[in-house]
Amino acid sequence: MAGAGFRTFAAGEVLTASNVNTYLMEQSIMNFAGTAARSSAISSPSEGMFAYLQDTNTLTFYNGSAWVNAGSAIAGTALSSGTATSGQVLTANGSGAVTFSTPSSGLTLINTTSFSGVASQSINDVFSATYNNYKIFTSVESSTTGQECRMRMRVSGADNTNNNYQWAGWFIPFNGTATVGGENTNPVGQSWFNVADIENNGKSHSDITLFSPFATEKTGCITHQIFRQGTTNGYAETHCGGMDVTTSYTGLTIYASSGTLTGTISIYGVNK
Amino acid sequence: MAKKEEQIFIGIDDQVIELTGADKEAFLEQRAKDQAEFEAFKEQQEAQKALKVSAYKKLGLTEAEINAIL
Repeated sequence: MAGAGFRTFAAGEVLTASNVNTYLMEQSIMNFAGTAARSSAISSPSEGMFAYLQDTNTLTFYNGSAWVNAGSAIAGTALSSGTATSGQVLTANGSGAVTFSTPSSGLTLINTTSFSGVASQSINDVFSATYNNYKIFTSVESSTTGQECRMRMRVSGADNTNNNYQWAGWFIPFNGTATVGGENTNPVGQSWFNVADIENNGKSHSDITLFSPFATEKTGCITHQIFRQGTTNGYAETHCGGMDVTTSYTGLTIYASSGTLTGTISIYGVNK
Repeated sequence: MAKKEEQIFIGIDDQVIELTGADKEAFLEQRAKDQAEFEAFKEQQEAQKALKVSAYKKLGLTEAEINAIL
């Protein structure tokens, strides 16, 4: 019987030829100069046999109908040549091989930064030609009551503090009235995007989409935010807007309207 | 006793820096400007709301009806 599986031999037990062949030989990793030597030695392979090939430095196994590479990634060009770059992932080509490549779909994490007790948090060099659009998630708490967490676009280490941000929004308070309120109903000429309304005893979470911040066109910005204070009070808010200038930005700053912020920000590139 | 001066810390990537001197003055100036803009904006919104309330009252709506649509 080929590939007999596992067996615990008793002390003093005599090993038969079959024991050696099926428990040891056929279940060990054999070592051959190449596929020709392997074929010559094993004319009728059994499923589950392993053989190492010296000429290609690959480990192969017989899957019942053919010898295939085990752990193709070891022989992949990206791994062996060390050409994988930051942010790449292993991708299967559908033919048993895998290589490093830049993800072509989904989100790619560019930056996660935690901060504590800061008046502002700037993130440089996160927008580039690699992605058109970006998803940003923030979770922030504040040190003072009734403040806002705001966001400014940034390039060359400096924030855009000019009045060329435009946005409007709406909110629903968690007070049982289901009344929708308008926010920033005259949306021209602001100098920031609103990211979150926050208090000093609640955490606000925001889901931000930035459209084309790196391109020399007007950046678009949509924010969804949830602020919950205690168990009943809170706001659900959505703001939509953009820049009225076509500046190319490489980073951003979030900051508190007063006091300080504590939290995290994560920036993802949306693959084209 | 003199009021303790506010310390301003900012994060830039993975560094935290305390602003001092001209940098701190510039930061506080910008924050005051932002806040003034924000207050002006809020006043503008309140004025718009007051106009709406006034108009609704002239149309004969009750306080409850006005609150329901604002």
